[in-house]
Amino acid sequence: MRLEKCWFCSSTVYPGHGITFVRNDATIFKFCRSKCHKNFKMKRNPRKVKWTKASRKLAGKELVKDATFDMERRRNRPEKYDREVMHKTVKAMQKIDEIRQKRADRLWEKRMANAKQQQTAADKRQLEREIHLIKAPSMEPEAVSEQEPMQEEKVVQQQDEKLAQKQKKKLRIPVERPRQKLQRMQE
Amino acid sequence: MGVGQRSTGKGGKVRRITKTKRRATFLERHIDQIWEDVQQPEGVHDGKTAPLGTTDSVQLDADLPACGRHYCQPCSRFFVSEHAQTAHEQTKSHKNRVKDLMGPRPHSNRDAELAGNMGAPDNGPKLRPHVAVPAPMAIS
Repeated sequence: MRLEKCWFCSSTVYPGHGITFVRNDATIFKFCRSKCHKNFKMKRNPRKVKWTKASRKLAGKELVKDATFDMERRRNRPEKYDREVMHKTVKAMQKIDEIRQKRADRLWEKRMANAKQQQTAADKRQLEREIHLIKAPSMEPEAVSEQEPMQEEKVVQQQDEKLAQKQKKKLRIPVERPRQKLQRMQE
Repeated sequence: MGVGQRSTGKGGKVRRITKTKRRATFLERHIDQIWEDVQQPEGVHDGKTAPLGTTDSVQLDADLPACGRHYCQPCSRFFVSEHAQTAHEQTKSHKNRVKDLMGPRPHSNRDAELAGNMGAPDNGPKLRPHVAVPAPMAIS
């Protein structure tokens, strides 16, 4: 029994799950679910899709090249069964998993150390840029010359009227007026 | 009605061919295959690494546009004339493709495994270490 990794998102594919695609040059692609298979069919690059493990590692969001990764490998020469080795391996797995979790937590803490400062700086920048959205123009200390905005308003109004006319034209449905209809009926 | 299916009934004049188009793009050579092609020395291709039209043994293939004479390797496309090919080489899509192929090796199964917290594949110890050198201890 082998636990494969999904070609697209690198999650574990358990036996009886997912789909396997064999290209006509005999390359094997395994997918954990239809989402990943569809993305592959659209020829998307997993490095450029944000939710895949590959892109997260490239962005430095997760542990890369850690000694704890050497536990799980594709073993092309299977070990002979030995009760003692089996017992030790199971113990080691738990221990290594613990260590990896700790390292991952430390990495996250390191990443999040500057997060608050960055967020505040970004908020400040946004406030400066979009202050006009919350502040009324009359409150501004120096009002800009008053004639120009008036002209602009007029132009905008004209445009609006034109647009409205156009829409009216489009919406007009040819309907016979009742009098015309009556005349036609009489004829 | 699903994406790419043909609409039926009233107002069904527009025929959607999204699925066909997607299928066609999928059947083109994949980026990792092309990357391998580009690494090969020029003019040497067997059927596995490049379309048969570009092999040395089968120079001309009647099924291909212009018998496969004008082939753009980075885009894996055949053209009807030299003129068409030069025009294609001016396009943005071609230039982008060339730029991509200059970069690192495209994503592979090995990369997926590394990203999924796995180590390098383990092939075990060599079964037959160099037989040519006889062990002096055994002789004595």
